[in-house]
Amino acid sequence: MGNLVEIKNISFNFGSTEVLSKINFSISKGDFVGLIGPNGSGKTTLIKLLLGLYKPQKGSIKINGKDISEFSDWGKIGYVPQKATNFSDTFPASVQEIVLTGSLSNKRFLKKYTSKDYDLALEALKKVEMQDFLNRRIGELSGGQQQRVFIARALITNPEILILDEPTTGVDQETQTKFYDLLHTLNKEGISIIIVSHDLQRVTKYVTKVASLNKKLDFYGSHKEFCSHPDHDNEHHCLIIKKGHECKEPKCDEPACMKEKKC
Amino acid sequence: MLEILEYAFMQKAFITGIVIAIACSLLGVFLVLRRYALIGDGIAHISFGGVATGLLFNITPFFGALIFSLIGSLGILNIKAKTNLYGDSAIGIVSHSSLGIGIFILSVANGFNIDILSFLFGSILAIKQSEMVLSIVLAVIVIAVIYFFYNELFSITFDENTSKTFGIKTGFLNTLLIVLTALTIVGSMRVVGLMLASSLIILPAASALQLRLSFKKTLFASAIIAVLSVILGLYLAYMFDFAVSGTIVLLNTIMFILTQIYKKVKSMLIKK
Repeated sequence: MGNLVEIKNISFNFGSTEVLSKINFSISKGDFVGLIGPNGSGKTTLIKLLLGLYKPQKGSIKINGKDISEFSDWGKIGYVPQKATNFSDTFPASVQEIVLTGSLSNKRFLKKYTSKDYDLALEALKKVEMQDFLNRRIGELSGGQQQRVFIARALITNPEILILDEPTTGVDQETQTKFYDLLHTLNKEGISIIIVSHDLQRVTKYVTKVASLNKKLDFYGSHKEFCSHPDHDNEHHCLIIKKGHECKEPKCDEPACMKEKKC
Repeated sequence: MLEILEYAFMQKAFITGIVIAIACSLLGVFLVLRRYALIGDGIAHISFGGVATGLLFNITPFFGALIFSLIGSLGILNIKAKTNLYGDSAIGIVSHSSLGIGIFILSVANGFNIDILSFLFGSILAIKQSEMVLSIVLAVIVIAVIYFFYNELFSITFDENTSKTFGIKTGFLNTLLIVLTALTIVGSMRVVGLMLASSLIILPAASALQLRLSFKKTLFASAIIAVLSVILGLYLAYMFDFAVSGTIVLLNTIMFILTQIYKKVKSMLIKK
């Protein structure tokens, strides 16, 4: 089986500033990839390259074997941003109106919704258990519920890949856990997932691969391999799988937890 | 009350005012949410340059305003794309340059006269048949474009960055919004005048947004508020010899205040 996404020798600059340098990795069907790295490491830039929003200055990206410059089936890729551009709690839109916009990626000239689109919107909301909120205004929902709506927007076209850019920023820990459980379910149903995160703690149980980025690709492989490396074995999310460590809330006496104030 | 509709000039005023109100109020929802509310003022300044040029060269001021506002709108986008300036600076540069051109032309042409004042402050009761037709055509174009591109305009208004990933041509739609604003400002010239044209875009939308409805219902509410203001404004102006443009805008302001009162009362009732 070919790779779903192939990234070969990608380099990208903003003006004279190098943001990404010689990035090489591939993503197979069913992968759940955690993309980690410090601020300014190029994670969001790499995501935008995968979404076709930027063009790489060097290298190539292929999706389903097709070069990204020729790729047009954008319905196969679902994107969940950190936050919608103009969104505030007072934005006058119902959950249904927002989820329906996801179907625009499958439309060509006259982008009008059909009855099938309305059915697909409801199906997408059922997958994220938000079908009862169809006609509610988005601003009335909690942060976790809003992110589920954004996932439903991304799922309406039955994507093969779901790309999420720090989707749980500002969301409480219990909601984050439920959110990642949902991603795990979607991954088990066959959707490949790439999630940008500063911290893999919450999603540790589910990722199959870790890509550690800092302009260059420092590491790409399984999470176990990542945590086996001496440079990483003290990271909190590594303790969880290595030592079977579970945070004891509200305060944990594990040194890494105390240092990083993770718990 | 209905006898005012027997007069041809009132019939023209009502038809023009209602159609323009609908176009401005629908567009206004998109512009207010995208924080482009004051672009209408900028384009009104640009249109003034076109009106003055039209009067000087004996060209229909409408066409002068239309040409200037379309070129000016595209100039704003060009400056924004090619310089490091933000949108508000680009609007300021183009709009005030055009305003300066207009004032210069009028000084060369020996000052202001009643014609220019009617474009600045509106004269819907004196609107000519040709101007009525032009205003209606512009308004219908705006309404039709909003109808055909509704889903994409909604998508970029809510989330422009993610809309790009849907393959939506956000650059084209942003240009379209500015062009539509130019058309509505020019169409509103005779209704409320260039000085107040922006108010027909901003106020009904701002009022409707207070009602916390879905997007489609917000558009309907904005249009209803605008149309009611125009109808009531024309009627009151006729009955009491008020300035039409000022009366319409004041009524829009009252509508905004009423929506605030409605919001307060609603939240008090919910708390009980």
